[in-house]
Amino acid sequence: MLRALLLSAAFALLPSLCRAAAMPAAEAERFIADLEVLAEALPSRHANLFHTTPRDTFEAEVATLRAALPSMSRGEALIGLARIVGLARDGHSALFLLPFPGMAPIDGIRQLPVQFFLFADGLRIVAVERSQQRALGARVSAIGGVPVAEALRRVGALVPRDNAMGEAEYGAWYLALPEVLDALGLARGGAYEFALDGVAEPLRLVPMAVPPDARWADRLITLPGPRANWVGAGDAAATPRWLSRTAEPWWFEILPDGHVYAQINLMRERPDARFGDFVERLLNAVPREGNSRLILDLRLNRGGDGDLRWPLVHGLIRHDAVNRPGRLFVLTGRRTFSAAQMLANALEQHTAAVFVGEPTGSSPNHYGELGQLALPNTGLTVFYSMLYWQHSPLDARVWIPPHVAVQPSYADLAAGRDPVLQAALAFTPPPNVAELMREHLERGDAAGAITAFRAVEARHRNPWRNLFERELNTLGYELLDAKRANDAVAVLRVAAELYPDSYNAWDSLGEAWLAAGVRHRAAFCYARAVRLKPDYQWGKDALQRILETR
Amino acid sequence: MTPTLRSIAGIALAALCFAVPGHAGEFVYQAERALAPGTWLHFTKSNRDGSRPWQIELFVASPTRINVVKWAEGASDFVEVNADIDLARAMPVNIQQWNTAGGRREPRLAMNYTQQTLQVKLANGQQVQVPHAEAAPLQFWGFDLMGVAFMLPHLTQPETGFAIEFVDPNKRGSEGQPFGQGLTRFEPIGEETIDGVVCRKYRISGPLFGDKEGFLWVDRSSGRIERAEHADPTSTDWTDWKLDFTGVEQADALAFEAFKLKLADAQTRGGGASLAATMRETFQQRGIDAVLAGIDGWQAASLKGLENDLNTLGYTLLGEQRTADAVKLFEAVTRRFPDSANAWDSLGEAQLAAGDRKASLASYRRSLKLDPSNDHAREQIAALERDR
Repeated sequence: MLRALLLSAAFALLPSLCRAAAMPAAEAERFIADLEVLAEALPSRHANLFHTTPRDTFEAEVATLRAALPSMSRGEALIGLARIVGLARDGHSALFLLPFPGMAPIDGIRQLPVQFFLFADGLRIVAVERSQQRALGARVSAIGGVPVAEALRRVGALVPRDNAMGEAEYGAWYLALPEVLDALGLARGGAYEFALDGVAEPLRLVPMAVPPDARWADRLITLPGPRANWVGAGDAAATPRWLSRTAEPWWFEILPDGHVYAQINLMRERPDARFGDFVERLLNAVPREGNSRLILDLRLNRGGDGDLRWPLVHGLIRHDAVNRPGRLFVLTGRRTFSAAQMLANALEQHTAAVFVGEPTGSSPNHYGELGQLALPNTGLTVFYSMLYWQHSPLDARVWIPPHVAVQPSYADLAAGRDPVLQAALAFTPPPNVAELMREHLERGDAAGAITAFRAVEARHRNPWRNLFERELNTLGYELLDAKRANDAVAVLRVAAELYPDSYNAWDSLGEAWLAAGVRHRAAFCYARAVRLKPDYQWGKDALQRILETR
Repeated sequence: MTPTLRSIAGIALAALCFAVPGHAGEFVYQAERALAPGTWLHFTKSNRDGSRPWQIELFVASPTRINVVKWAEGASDFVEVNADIDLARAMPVNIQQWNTAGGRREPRLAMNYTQQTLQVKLANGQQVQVPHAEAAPLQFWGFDLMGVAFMLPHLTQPETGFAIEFVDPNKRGSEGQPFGQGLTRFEPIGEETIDGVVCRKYRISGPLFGDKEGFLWVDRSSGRIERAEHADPTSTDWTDWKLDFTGVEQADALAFEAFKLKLADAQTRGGGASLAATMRETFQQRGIDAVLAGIDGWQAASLKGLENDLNTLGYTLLGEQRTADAVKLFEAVTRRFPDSANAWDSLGEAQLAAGDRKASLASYRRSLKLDPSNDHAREQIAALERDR
């Protein structure tokens, strides 16, 4: 609700900034008529349109847009409609502003000759028209005078997404669309300016038509055709394996050291190209003797038919040699989406696979199954989720986090390196940190234990998975049982510092502070635990007891 | 300014300004007038209008030792002071103070008088020396007038008045350290009868009481304090103050110990309940401003626990990420307890959570100044200065 209101505020900025000419009255009428169609059809067709946005907010936003449409330009109207559909807040519900393969571009949506990618260190330019090649690789600090973090926040509320990975993926694309920048208050006086770190002069770009063959959603490399006069990251380097055969639905290769690398880019088969046949060839290629690893790369797989996952899952279960920890790897990323998410779910649940890379772009349970709604007056097509794909009612995760986190970096992309694959090939499981720390703790050296732990943690840094939370927690309670409250505090503090979103880490630390007799710190911890998990009765009771006694 | 320098200046000034005839010689120990061991005097201390009453117990443990307990019905803590009185000098020479809250008895203060100097050891381990020029007996303002009450029967010339030198640890600006307050004068201004007891009435004046005026009534025959009152509260616990004698009994030392145990028991049974839960309810129903407005009312039920309870509530708000409210609360705590190193430390933490690094640094610095042993503040200051 709050996010929607903030977004409205952002849109309210629009008239004072730059006004494109209003549509002819007849066209505005067509948009109003289609908005009615949309507002009527979407709530009944979508599996659950109001899973995130309340109905009241949806209806209020529709009314606001209806009132504003007569004075809007065509571009504003398109973004307005896209935003209404986007209120569903899932990855399949959208008026997609960029066309899928085979779809025509939308009249009135243009593109800037630039391609962004959101890295851990910020939004960078990964491709740009040749005349601006000095900007390649540069980090964007502001768009139209707005700091890039705020620009990302605004665009994040507009894009179709299942989670923050989806926002990162789509946000980067949408920030290259001039009509989006206009609507989000990120353009100044009709000019599209990007302030770049370390470059005095901002990058100014002139809109171009969206190329009809955009293939935009599965590429990280410069495209041929209309974009032949662009420069892109990695142009000078050899194309890395994972970006070399993106047009093929699936393929595999036996690496020189005997490991097998398979890339599955699409969950859709044709009579002459059966996924089951591919799986059979693939698993036959993985030796049953020796230590060959099998690496399944789902990073560019944006889905298709989820039922295709079974031949692979069943084949892996039967392949005792490779279905083992440290032998089987799944590479995931922000584009691992929809049916590819279902495949990832099954691999996580039924095999010993180690996940490497970024989190997946969908949540394990998600709204999906693309439905189409043709709007009769404007000729636009709106997509929506027809079903809720629930693989487990207990799984509230927003994504599958990788066991080994590898953040993409511009330097790797430019050099043609694939650090994700390298990490899978170099994988060794982290040591047992509890054992390591106990050695120090038995000598009474809590500080030494923490130092040793931090060194291990730094080597296995993972922003998405609480890799060591359970071990630290168990160790902390051992110390509490042994009446070593101060040592327990020292250990559990590290857990809460590393995993601040874990209610259990705060709960445990609260118990340790209480044992150490520091009640105000305990109150802080329990209050944080309850804040993270409002229905956490034990934490609420513990907090109440602290507040009531001294 | 160091307290010690100030106290020397204060004493020198006092010696110049008042041509004080009196000194310890005004009090001469007379065995037949002494309070017998086992005497248990009850007093009530309150505001002058009788509000916010606290009970003060004075128990004579031996001819030279008194135990004092300050407590209130339903309060969460009580204060205990033991003092050994040097009868020749008419003043305590060993004093120990404890606060008991939640069944835990924590030492607060220990003092020793040797060679005309009061050596004070604070709870944080810090040691302070307060010189004493011996113009008058030295008394400690911290267990009210109980040391004076013990010595008053031995006043040789009650009709001409007397002077006491006070050391005060609670004074604003003393930064938690005791320092000399100079001479307090008690001038006789006639006789009055209170509850049928004929009393000598004295006017109280001096720097300890902000040079404001107050009165002391002493039973003419026994020398027992009957009543005292003053316009200056001398601490934030009251708006002004009044002391009333309410009764006397005889008891053995064991009975007095049992009484203290009962007080501690009452706390753990709920008499010592923290107010933080009530405060939080107020916050949840009516917001932070209602909490701030309620502090005065809550103070009545908590002598020393109020700051702790507010601190606990503040950290709860921080945990709930209601950072702005926590800052407001801790600001109020520092206004009320400006000499509390802990209050400033907490404020610093909340300001840092709110992203106000400059204010946070100032608060931590203030905390460290008040309590140089606050390592947490020292670490935070170093981190804030490093990342500036």
